[in-house]
Amino acid sequence: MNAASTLRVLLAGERPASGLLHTARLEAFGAEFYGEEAIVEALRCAPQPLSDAALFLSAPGHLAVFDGTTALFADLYGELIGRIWRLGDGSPAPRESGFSVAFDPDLTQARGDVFAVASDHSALDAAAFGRVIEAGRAIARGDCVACRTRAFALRAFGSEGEGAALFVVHRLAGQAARTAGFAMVAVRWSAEELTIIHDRAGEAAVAADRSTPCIDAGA
Amino acid sequence: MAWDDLPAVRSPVGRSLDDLLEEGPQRQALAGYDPVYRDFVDYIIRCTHRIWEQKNVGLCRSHYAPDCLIHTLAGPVTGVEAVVQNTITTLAATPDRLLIGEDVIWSDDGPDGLYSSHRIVSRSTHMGDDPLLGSATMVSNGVMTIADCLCRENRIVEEWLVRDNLRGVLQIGRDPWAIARMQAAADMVGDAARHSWRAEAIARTRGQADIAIPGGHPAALPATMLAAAFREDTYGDAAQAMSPAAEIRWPSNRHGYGRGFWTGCLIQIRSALHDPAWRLEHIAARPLPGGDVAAALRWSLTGVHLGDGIWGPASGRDVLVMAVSHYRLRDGLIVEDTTVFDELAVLRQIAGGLGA
Repeated sequence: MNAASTLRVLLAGERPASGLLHTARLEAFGAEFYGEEAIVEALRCAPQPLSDAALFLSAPGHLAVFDGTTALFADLYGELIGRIWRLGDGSPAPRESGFSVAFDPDLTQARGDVFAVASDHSALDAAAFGRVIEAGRAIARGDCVACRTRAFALRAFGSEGEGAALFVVHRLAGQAARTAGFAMVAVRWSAEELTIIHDRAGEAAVAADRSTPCIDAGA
Repeated sequence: MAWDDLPAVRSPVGRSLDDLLEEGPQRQALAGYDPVYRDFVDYIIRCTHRIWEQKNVGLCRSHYAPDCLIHTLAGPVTGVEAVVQNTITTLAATPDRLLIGEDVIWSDDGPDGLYSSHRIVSRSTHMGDDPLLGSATMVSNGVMTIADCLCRENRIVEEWLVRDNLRGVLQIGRDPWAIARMQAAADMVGDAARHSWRAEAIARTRGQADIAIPGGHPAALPATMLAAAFREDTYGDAAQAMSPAAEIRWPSNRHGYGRGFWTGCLIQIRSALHDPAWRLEHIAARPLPGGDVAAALRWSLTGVHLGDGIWGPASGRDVLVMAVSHYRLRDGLIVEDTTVFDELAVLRQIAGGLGA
């Protein structure tokens, strides 16, 4: 079973016969699911079969799927899937408690839009790095009006003429008491166009979250 | 042995369970080890599987030295029978526990033995009562653990175990401070000498030199980074070792991206701990698929809890942190940082536990 077939089976809410590593992670619906069984369970609870029009892009170590308002990215080891990001609509999963981290994404007064380095992306042609920066800028500058948005290029592959990238976007939103958090954005570029898919389920999860930069010391 | 010798001894990263557990001829000379183990990575992965998932807990008796010493931030555990009992106690509370081995970053430490840094995600359901987690909640949870083991002739002789216990407590909806205070109250009863290990560990962190790093070793990059941050407070310079889009996982569900997020994790802790000291205790590295490199650093941090913030109001307590960091390096930069320490045991210290 190749990786594309494995993804199709998973998104349909079924358990693939093989192809998903036991150590795989899935990030979807604003949550993270670890291990083959938890991933299958999460997608079985929210099946969304890929359409026949789904567009698959691949490179050594990478697979991306764009299907309407849904996008998928996968890390591959041969045809084995090690990690999946599912972006799109859906009900956000309950947020897991934890420590929030107060931080400055820029570390400079000259604030930036995009954080990326070409050497992170071995399957990206050197000439295509500019498309990644361009896409990251489009995400950051086209974001909501009352948001300070930074785009981090997590995965990218392809050529100048066609490729895909997965960004994680940090958004400081609102005006008085702000919300902060990370959500994923997928992009696909061709010679003519740039397609941007937001993880709306993940964004909803972040918006519902509250900052917890300490554990309540209790009474 | 150089860190990248024996390429046939592969990392578990990217390998299926069938591949990992396939039996066959040895790929590495392992004097004194059970012949079922094909190499040192296989020894770690397979014996963990046999003991935990197959429930052959008694195999601990042939895989741990009788007088083995397990270091945890909640105190040392001595002897193989204690290991057996603790494993059974854990399985009673979480019988469906999977120990999913993400990586085994190992080194040949010469006469000392072979040293593994085993990164595990434990997935389980809290089906039974547990001394730490309390009454069964039937909640499924999963936390990161890194077990650093020094091994000789099929036996673990010393282990440094770091588990993200605070995250586990939060996942099942328990109050970590209530647990930490309960543990601290118990620590204050009885012979205080049993906690002397903590003062000794703090003294080592303050007084002893870092372990040496061989020239050209990949661990030099993250070691220099952590030293610059914790010793010099030059976080921005330190963070240059990271990719601008690096992924960072620190305990208690701190998960973010970029140099700024990493800096935020350290400053959050540093603001609570005054007069800090940091010490590098062990390094290892191994090749990963696709030309990446995995590096493992075991380190300790101490300081005086004089800052309000992440760990509540300043307590004035001396605090010890025992941590292991796993890094994925690519083209001279860190692209992933997974750092684990037991933050519940930090709260326990702040609450007055684990000795003076």
